[in-house]
Amino acid sequence: MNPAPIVCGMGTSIPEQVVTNDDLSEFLDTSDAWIRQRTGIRERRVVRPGTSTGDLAVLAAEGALKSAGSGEADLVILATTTPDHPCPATAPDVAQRIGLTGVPAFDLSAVCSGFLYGLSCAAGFIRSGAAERVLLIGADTYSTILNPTDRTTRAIFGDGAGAMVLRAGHPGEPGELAGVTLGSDGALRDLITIPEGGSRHPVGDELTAEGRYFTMRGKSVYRHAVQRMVESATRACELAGWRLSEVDHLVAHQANARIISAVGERLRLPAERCAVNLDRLGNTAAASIPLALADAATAGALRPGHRTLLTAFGGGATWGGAALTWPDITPVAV
Amino acid sequence: MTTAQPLAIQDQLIALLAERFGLDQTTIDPQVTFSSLELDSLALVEFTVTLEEDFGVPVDEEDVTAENTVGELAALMADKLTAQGQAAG
Repeated sequence: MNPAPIVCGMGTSIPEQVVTNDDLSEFLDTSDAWIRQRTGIRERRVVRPGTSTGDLAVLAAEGALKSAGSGEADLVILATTTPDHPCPATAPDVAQRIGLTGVPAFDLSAVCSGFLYGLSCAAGFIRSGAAERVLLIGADTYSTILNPTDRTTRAIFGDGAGAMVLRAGHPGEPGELAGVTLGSDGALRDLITIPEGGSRHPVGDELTAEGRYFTMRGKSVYRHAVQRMVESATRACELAGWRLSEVDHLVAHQANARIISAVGERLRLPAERCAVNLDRLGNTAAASIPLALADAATAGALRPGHRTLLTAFGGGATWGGAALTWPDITPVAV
Repeated sequence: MTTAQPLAIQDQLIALLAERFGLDQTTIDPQVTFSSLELDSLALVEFTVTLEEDFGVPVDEEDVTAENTVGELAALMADKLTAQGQAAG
């Protein structure tokens, strides 16, 4: 029988600097009431100049390895849209900084679905026997790619990192990743994009000021996100052999409180079973699912044995769902 | 051939709006616009998703704007349902 991927450690890192809605309304045409009504967000964390995605990833990874009780891993995957450099990938640097020099390490680009894409990769490596212990990190510093004058994206996104260690184990063990599903649709490429600075419009060309920044068509994203997150959560549940009514927690990508409640409602999961921490952290992109998992576990809402459903939608467009039983672990915040 | 009935659809839309957004059904008449119901842009998108799910026809974001009235949307939905019925033969 093939080994099963088992979650055995979690770590998180968020920047110290808090930016409240009132802080934003000092220089943008917005208000605390407007932001809270449309997004559910009260404040977000933002890195200070000089702190990179890799810096946050290192801290979260150290927390996850500590939580797992061992500094060992034989593969490092970093899901991010905001790597330290366009080239090379950030994962090898992170691996070296945490004492894992020589271990294979790569970045994974699936925007806000990145952590679920990473989970699927980690599971595949473990099931095939190609890896025994995988360190998966979701880390982003969207504050470095947002248009300073865009009140919508400025209000939504925050910075942060979350990491998870998965090991080879036996089917049915607590912490088992019991089902993962992924999908994409490139026809929706313009919904969430940094239009310029890649090979389509290279840096050598004359770039527009706007085109270098992250942009999002919020209304279309809302619509596709609700539909795809409901589909993939349902599919992940089927793959795990669970009924939706048996799900203890839905930990959805923390995009927008109204998306989470629309998804929860369609899955017939009461609000108390739907994890929300975006009020304090905003949308932290690839970091949002591990940060929400760690917060729910630390608060005691997510307990060992709980059937936990994950789902995300992001740029690409990409989406995914995953089902896991929550293990008896203590997330470590660094 | 199936012809969808705008009046029946209108009643259905009013009931849906009341249920989904906690509005008083008696305050919604066919002439009322979505902006006067104080639904923000995300609520209108949410409503297009609900319409697709409940009626089983594609609904664009542009089909449900703040300036539209409930009656106009009912007529549009009736056209969509009739077209779908004709396509189905």
